[in-house]
Amino acid sequence: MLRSPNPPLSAVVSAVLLGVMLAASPGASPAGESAESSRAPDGDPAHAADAAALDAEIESLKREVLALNRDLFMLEEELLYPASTQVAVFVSMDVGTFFALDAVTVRINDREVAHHLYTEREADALLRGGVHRIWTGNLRAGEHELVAVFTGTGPHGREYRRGAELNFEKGVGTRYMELKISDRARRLQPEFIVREWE
Amino acid sequence: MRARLIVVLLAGVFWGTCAHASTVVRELHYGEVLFLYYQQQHFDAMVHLEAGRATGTIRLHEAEAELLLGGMLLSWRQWREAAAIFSRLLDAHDDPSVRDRARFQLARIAWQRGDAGQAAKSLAALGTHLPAARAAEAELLRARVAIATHDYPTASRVLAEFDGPDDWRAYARYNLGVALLDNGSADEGLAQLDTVGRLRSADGELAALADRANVTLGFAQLRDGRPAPALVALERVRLDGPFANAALLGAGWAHSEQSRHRDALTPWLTLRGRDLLDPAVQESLLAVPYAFASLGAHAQAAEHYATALEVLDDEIARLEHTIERVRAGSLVPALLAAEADADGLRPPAAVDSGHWRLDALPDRIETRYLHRLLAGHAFQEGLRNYRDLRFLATNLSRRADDLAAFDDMIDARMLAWQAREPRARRMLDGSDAAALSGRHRALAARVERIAEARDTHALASTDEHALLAALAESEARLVRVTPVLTDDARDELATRQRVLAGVLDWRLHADFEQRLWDARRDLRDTGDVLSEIDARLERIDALRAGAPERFDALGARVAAYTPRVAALAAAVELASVRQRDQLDAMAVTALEREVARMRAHELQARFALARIHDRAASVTTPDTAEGARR
Repeated sequence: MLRSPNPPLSAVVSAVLLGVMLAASPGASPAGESAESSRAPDGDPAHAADAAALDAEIESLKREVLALNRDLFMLEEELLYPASTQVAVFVSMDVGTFFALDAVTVRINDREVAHHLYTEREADALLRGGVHRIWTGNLRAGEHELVAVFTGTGPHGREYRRGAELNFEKGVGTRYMELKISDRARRLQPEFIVREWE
Repeated sequence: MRARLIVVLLAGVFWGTCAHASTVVRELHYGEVLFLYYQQQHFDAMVHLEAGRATGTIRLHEAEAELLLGGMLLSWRQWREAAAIFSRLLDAHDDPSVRDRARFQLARIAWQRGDAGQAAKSLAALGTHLPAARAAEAELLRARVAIATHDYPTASRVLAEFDGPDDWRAYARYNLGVALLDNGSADEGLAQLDTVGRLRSADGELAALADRANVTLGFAQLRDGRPAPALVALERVRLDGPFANAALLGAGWAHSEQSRHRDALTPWLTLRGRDLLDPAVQESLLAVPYAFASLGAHAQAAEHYATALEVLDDEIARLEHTIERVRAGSLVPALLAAEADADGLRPPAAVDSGHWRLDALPDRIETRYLHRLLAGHAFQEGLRNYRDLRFLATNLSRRADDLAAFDDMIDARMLAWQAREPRARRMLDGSDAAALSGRHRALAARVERIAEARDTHALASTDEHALLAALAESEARLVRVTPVLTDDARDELATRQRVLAGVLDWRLHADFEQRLWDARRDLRDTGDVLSEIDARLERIDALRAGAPERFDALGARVAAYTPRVAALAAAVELASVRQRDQLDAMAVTALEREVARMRAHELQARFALARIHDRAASVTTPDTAEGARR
């Protein structure tokens, strides 16, 4: 019987094994990332050195761009909101069992300065401890009135709308105000507080 | 009073993604960083964190901020900086939980940079203070490091005791099996793969891993000349999974090795209708005619070899065309086009999580042959670099726009100031604050003189001054009318005059201290107001006088940033080109390797075909000779 020359089995097996036997890593596991260090798949040391040098250069560029962004962020703040007049309003949430936040409106001296509709992601970030800067502006020294209106879903899934206000004195320095939503466990109700930070 | 904001970090910050750790956010600006971080806006979070630390609005969260920054830098693959931060934390902190987190991150960095020895050292120093989720990651890493350093007993032990997600354990076990096979411990390696291969899961990823383990196991057994158990493993592979083609190819060989060529044809012919890009399908092009030839069906074998040659020719032509396209620079844009969002590029945080998903690759000619290359660490790292560089380029372009806007803003403010300046100067020039202060000082001196002299009349009220004047008038009148009065009348009037004067005097003396205190208080209050006015006027004057210099200084700062941005943008562009060239070179190398492989197949097919023809000719020739003889 004629036997045709076949692709040697060992070559086929090796080719398939090469494709399959790569280190596997689960997509969701950070520790599963590869530990391969070679940047040159062809194993050429010159290519590897070149790749390593480029890696280092890119790291350095990223560092510089980050530093530049930091500097420009500070310059922008200085330009737009000088410390002598700056007022910033922040929103925070503590627990959030009795209130799911939809939106916050901020009025200062009877003028609406901010209205923010929270995405699911933002609301989640607040619940996890993040603090949202909802407004930054300039106010002259003296007495001011801040009114915040919170809307969302309250206990028993009902639509909920509450306000909180604070009269505050703006001096020469920067003034930070916090709009805080927390749970009042004893009354099974959310609580809305406006407070000043020094 | 410093307000304290108590929050619960349900998923922890970077170092404890599943940790239910509670912390206290003591600074609003730190909370703002967390707000960005939790939304995966790592770059902005890093900018805010560094700015907060530079301006002093983030001072209290020292270790947490360092860990957070280190983690974000690590996810942005800023290995050196991240390592420096974690090393600093390790040196500076006694808190065992901080130290363990730092050690774990250092181990990860070392591992990711390919330094398994250093990773092993950091892991060996780990205590027991990692959050549960991190501890599982650390154990997984320990197993992988042990595999990489050929310490298989440790890897086996760690995996046996592993208390983490099942899929993590399965992946580690698979890698251990492969490593054992590679290093000569075949039986143990096969046993590990068999364990993974027997997994049954509704989870697609885990099921694919089981398939992969079975294919590896089956081919390893084929290599060792054990086709029967190989077939058992290969038949466990799902026919609709990503490893079905390899399994079908292997199953054919398992039959063929047992001389069951007809059985071998069943899986191999199934492959015929499948995607020709798969190496297993290409292999089947030669395997099918081999089986026919083995069965003595030479005509069919020749027909299939001829078909294989056509197909391989076409594929080689396509590959060569692809190489041309890659050389022309179309590969990287094709890859990035698939993931670019509306903004042009995703920020680094959104792309740091993992490798390209091969099932999400764009179906472009440039990517069709490159699955294996694209799955490789080196290419992935290069691609991430390129992606980061494009992000930097976009960012720098925006910063350049910002600087132009800042410039305009400063000009506009300068003009506004110049318009207001004359009014401010007039107001300052017309101010009588100095005269008021002088009068205040004179009054204060007078009050002190009154106090020293106990001049009670000086502090009399207006009414009392009127009374004093009336009494003096009545006394003078009494003197004038005395000659016409009787003695009794004069005495009575004089007595009443004295009594009234005495009452008034007594009241002025009795109230003197209170009146003096009131006067001093009023003077102090007035002094405060005058001081505030002076200070305000001074500030206005200083602002007015310093305004041009201030605007100039701000303008100079903006101007100084402009060349810095331009230089960085140029450097980023240059690095992008170099990185893209490297990626293209990797792709071309891989494609050329593929061409060589196909040419080898082609050669085999031609050789086989020639032998079939030779054989046919040699079988035919005697018959023909016989006929001629007849």
